[in-house]
Amino acid sequence: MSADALLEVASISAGYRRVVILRGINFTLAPGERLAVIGANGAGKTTLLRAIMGQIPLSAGQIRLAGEGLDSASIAARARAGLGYCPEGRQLFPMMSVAENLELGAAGAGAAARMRRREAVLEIFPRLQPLLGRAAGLLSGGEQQMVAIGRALMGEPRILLLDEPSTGLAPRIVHELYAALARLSAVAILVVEQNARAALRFADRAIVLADGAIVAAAPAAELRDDPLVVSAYVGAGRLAPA
Amino acid sequence: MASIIALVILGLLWGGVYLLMAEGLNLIYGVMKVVNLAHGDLIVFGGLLGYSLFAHAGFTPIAALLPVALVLGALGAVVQWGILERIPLVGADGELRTLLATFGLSYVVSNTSFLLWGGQFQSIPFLQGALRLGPIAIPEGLLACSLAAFIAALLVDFWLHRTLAGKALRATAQSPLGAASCGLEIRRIRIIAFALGTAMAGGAGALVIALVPFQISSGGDLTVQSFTLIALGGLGNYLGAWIAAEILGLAEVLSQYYLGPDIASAIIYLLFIAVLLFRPQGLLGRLGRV
Ligand SMILES: Nc1ncnc2c1ncn2[C@@H]1O[C@H](COP(=O)(O)OP(=O)(O)O)[C@@H](O)[C@H]1O
Ligand SMILES: [Mg+2]
Repeated sequence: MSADALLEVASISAGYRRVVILRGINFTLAPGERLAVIGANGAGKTTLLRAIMGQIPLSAGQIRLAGEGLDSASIAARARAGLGYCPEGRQLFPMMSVAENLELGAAGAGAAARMRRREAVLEIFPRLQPLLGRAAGLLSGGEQQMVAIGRALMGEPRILLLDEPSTGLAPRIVHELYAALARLSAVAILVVEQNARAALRFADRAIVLADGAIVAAAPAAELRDDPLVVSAYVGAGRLAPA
Repeated sequence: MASIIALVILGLLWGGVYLLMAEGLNLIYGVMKVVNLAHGDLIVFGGLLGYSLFAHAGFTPIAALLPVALVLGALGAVVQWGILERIPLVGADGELRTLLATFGLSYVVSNTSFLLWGGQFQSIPFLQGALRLGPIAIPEGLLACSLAAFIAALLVDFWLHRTLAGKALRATAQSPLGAASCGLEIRRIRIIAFALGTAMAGGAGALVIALVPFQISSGGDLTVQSFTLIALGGLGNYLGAWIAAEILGLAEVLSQYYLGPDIASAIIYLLFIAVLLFRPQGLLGRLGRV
């Protein structure tokens, strides 16, 4: 595999108990690159992120971060090594304030670093500024997603792993969210989405996942201009203008 | 009038002791969703340990609080690391497995207590006098133990809400995956939570043994009492437990005075059943969870 890859997913297979979901997945992510993984409901997108984060074990293959095999590292160890994970369902701390949610994202850093990073996150999501004292569970879906991404950014990750950030959000909010993500520099982003339209507009490169296997991989622009490929795997209508 | 005020004060003071008794159970459930059936036996173990510290080294219950809590905390850490952490919680019968494990633990703890202290009732004579405020008499022992319990519970509360480590523990209660995604090792946090919960049980025991004598078989009652409190307050609910502890303290003292001790001990269970029937989510619902 390429020597300059930040993340290498090398022929991995993974699943649940005895059910194999992912079969022989292979791809790399370069520093600062934006990769979209699109696929229909049940294609295995969430499972892929779970395998990368070590939530489920691999039955074959290996995942390397900056050349180091992750093997049996815990979720937390992977997070500390630079994987900023925004899991399915956002997994915020609903009874804690937005400020505390962000604070915990940088639990390993010193107080000064935490404040500096929080300023940076608030610059990216200014909407959160007036909400800092509010319980995260009381926010709107879009605001919660911003807290989830903000919390992951507080760890100064090398890679953001986003599981369907646009789920349940109004198109205007999806646009705002991806615009904010597009302004991030210095962090690679792997976003899995059913919402192919938004993800393909954002990403540099895209992978189409179907039934746990990669069925297409191309620059995002190519897939964007080739609605047939996408609709065949992701479902018709996904690329229709909103 | 004066006697009612005295009773209310007594009830509130008992509330402080109840709070410390139940809070450890609450914390363990909140963070790990483990219902610890050994809780009462840990309280008894802590109390009997406090008794030994008194009998052999002259420790008052207040002085014994911290050393007993430390010993029980260390025991709790070992139990969590060596046993509970190794039992898969998830899956259809995950809860049953942890129930069985803590049920077994309750036997181990109470039999260890039996080997170490025998089966007699033990108590510690402590501040036998009463503080007089006009016509109102407040037993000094209860006052001192209740204040100590309040302070201990407040300190834990402060730690949980104001320090990063405490917030990490509450975060793990609210979303283990979210906490792990923040780089927090939730295995270690669970060990801390269980240790803190057993330390609180032990500390409560060290105080309670000065107020009511107990023996090794008191553990079951104490477990049920703690559960009643927590059902009232809402499992895993911190603020609710506080209010429930005060309500129970008041209910018990008032009913004991007006209705007699036999009925008083039934009152707790009647309250418990009423709560389960009419307010199964606890007094406060989701508000104030760990
Ligand atoms: N915890 C689980 N246990 C067993 N099977 C699961 C579990 N989670 C997901 N699956 C199955 O794995 C497949 C892929 O699911 P998932 O990765 O969630 O898809 P996607 O995120 O693309 O919608 C589906 O068939 C789903 O039913
Ligand atoms: Mg999914």
